[in-house]
Amino acid sequence: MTKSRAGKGVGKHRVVSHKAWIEARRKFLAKEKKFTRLRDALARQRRALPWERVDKQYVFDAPKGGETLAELFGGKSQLVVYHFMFAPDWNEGCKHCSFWADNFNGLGIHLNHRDVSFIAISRAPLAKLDAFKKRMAGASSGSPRAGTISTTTTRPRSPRRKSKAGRRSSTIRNPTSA
Amino acid sequence: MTDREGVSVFYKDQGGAVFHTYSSYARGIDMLNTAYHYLDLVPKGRDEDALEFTQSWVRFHDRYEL
Repeated sequence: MTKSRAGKGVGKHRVVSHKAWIEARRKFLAKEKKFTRLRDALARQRRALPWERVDKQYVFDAPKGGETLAELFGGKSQLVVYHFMFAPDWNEGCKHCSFWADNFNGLGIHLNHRDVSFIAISRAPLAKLDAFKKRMAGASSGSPRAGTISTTTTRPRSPRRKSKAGRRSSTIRNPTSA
Repeated sequence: MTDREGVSVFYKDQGGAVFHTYSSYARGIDMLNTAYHYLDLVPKGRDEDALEFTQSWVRFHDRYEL
């Protein structure tokens, strides 16, 4: 084992004494803290953005029957909706959304205690969502709902790169992209 | 193809009126994926530069080959 041993693809990397390591780490910490403050400020500005009223009636297929958008709040005042790509004619959900959904695990209960309801929606029928949820057991939070939300009429900007899934249009249309 | 990924946020006031407060997609939902934040910490990072597209390595969690 050599001193500068590095993983495949990482290449030769600078290896230093512990003292120099701490020094470099501390110096970088200042940068990280600056970024944290900037991120906090960005989040405040995001929350200060204007709202638009949703007058259109959306109804979703839920385990206990149809639910309106207002009902998805489940008694909370704030709602986060993840649009999970699962078209009606697909036999399984989008694998990239599934990667994201693996991060949902355990999330709902915490958000519920901060006055937030969290839900995933897809266009595929509920039976397909349930079967897929069963297959991916433990990876999602709560019961998915079948339906779509079209929040504005603005088409999203073309993504720089096409997904493997091909040409994109949107069910949750929004004008912004980070 | 009429689907794409995204997150939307809504608020309901005491009178029951619903407001759309935020939506994002593409890199905008990076922050919702903890795995990517961990990958950002390791020496190889996301390690996606040489791939055909950034997430071409992703599989369903029951479809990875060991």
